Amino acid sequence: MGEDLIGRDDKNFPEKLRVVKPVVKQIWYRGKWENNIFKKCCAVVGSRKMSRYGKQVLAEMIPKLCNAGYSIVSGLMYGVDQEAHKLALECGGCAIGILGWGIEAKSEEGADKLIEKIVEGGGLILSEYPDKTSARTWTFPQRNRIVVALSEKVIVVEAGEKSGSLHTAALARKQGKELLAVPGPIFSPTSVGTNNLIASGVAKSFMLKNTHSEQVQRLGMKLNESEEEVVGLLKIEGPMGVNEISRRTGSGAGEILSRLMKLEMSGILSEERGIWRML
Amino acid sequence: MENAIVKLMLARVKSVATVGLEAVEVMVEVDVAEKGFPAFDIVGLADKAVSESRARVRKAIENTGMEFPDKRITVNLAPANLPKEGSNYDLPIAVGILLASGAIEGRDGLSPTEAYYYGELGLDGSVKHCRGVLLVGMLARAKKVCEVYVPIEAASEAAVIPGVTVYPVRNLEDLIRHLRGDKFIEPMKTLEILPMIEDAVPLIDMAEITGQEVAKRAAEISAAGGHNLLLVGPPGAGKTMLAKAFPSILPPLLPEESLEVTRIYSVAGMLPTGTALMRTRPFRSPHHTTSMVGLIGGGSNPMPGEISLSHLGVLFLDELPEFSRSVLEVLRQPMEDQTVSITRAMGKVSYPASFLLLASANPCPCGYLNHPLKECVCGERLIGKYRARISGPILDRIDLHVWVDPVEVNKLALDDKEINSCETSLVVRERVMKARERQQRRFVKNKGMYTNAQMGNKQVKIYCKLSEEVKQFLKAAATKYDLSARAYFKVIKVARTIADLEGVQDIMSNHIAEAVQYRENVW
Repeated sequence: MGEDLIGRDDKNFPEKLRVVKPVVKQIWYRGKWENNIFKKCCAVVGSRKMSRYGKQVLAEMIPKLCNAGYSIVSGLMYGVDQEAHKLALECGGCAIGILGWGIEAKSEEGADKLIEKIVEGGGLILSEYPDKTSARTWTFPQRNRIVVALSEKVIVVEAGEKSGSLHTAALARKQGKELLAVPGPIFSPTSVGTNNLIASGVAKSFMLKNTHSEQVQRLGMKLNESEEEVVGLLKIEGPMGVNEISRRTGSGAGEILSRLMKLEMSGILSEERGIWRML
Repeated sequence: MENAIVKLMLARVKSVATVGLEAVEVMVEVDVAEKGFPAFDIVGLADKAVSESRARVRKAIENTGMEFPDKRITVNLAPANLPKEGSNYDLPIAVGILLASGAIEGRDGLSPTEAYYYGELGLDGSVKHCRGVLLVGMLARAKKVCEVYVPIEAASEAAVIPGVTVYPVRNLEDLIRHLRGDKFIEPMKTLEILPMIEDAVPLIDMAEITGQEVAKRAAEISAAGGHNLLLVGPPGAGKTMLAKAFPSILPPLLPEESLEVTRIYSVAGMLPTGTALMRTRPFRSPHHTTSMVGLIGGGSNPMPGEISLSHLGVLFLDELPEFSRSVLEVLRQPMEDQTVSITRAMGKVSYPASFLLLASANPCPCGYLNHPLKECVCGERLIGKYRARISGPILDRIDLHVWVDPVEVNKLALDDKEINSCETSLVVRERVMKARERQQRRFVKNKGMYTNAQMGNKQVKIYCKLSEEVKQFLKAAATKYDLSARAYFKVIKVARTIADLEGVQDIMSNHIAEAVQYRENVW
């Protein structure tokens, strides 16, 4: 399968990993080892329960990071971790996956396929556990220190109140890395952790630079009266289900659905499980 | 016995056997022989229920105060190669014995008038309800047999057939008096089908459902175009109630359709006692533990399953992912062909199965995924597994996928006016019927095609011409929402129905826009 070992004494052993405690003695890896890949790294971590909002954020964020020359480091868990890597591969970026289990251990199906793709795409899979070490509750937090150590930036995309990603965030702070969190809707349970990080001043708020201007531009679009009615309602009252929009505007559900779809096509609104919101 | 001198020893009485949905005339021949050891035999591929009829017939005759002939009795059910089953031969056998022994005077061993006898006997001589009475009436009309004698409890089933005199028989004693000409049984009045259908009251009216505008709209489109519908939402959102109200917006049954449905229920023995007709479209809601045979039909003598019982009506599969996968897969062929053939030892039977599939599901095992108030406790993998329980081919056959919000009680309770302003089923049904008329005119040349949902890709290309502008819009939508080729055609079909509901000839971009919202997005 082509896994290799690199020891602490090896000259190629990443400098960044020498300073971490507890000490990283050796690293097993799959893929082609090139020191360049570690030059500029950004960790993207988050909840296993990724919402559509999280997905949307990643779709905007990852291509920008890749274009800026960052390798995307993540923990290969399902949800945000895997999505980040998938997107990185799609836009031709570099992906570094750190396993929380042995390099030869069989991962779950989704991760297994992704691992193959990362290796094919010129990325790296790393693990400090040999052979078929199985995942334990303590291997994941241990693995997090490597994720953080390799990266100069750590971005938490989505995290619940007690998410494991918060542990990564704490490590980032301890190791003195730049910590960013993506602000989320205050109603969303998967954004409680990230919002707390921002509120407590631990993390900086992650913003897409041109989001604001893009939005302004979009709203500059000409809307007709009936579209204006819906947009206005959502602007003032916040996210809403179709049933309620229909009741509030007094128009039939079919009519409203049709209007909403056209607004979504123009990129003004988005929908998740029947709840519509302004983008 | 008055007639001590017996001349005739052979009697012939007509009855009916049911094979699937078809009825076949059966000649019950009874021979009462002076010679030979006293016995009572039944031949002619009779099953257990038929051969047990010996005991019932003997006791029924004795308990009616007649004498059971202590002779060698042989009963033959002709045609002898057709398997017979059920208890409905009791009555013709009893009449045959009475004729052959001379207790009743007939014409040359035939019953006094040409008639079908059909019914089960109790030991006290009472005649009991049995299944398939409607088919007896239908066969009588086809074969021009003017009279049928059937159990009083099921007599109204046959009474809907005009031109056939139906005698409701309470017990053997009444029948003997009637046949002897002592006291006649009052025949049933012919029942008019149409007024009965018009009088039918729906289970739940759409107006009783508060909120759920989107789901109701989807139900309307589904009813209008015959599109299968999947409702996904948390528990308590009102999916089941909506499903129950669904038949009320379907067009009323035509008299022929009503007979077709009644025939299936009559054969299955599922018409309630005293009911003449299925007056409303059937609504079947089988439990998710239902077996394959329960769903499509079967048994050694194949009986109609749930899909045939919902013929011309609605099959509601509540908690779709809880059904076993193999059970769901057997739905695929009948959904295509609208009929199901079952082959068993007793023969091959086809039952019609043209139903509209209505399904509901929770979004995840705990049911609270994306619930505004409660948090979902399911992991992504668990949800993935749950979703995989419904196979792609089944989802493909569902045109409308709708998310059902949980009911926000506080919002609804405040505004009684809104609740009262909900449309009734009758209003919705008017629109549905208009849309169906348009479709019927459209498919006048396509035999067996009545609704937009039945269109294949070929028909979509012919009947759903899109203007260049609309085509561009649809293309943009297909790119944005990543629609597969199949989803693309489904959107057009649904848009066609939406336009039909509006009474518009051309499909426009707002029809497409609405149709896109019902894409396979919620599952």
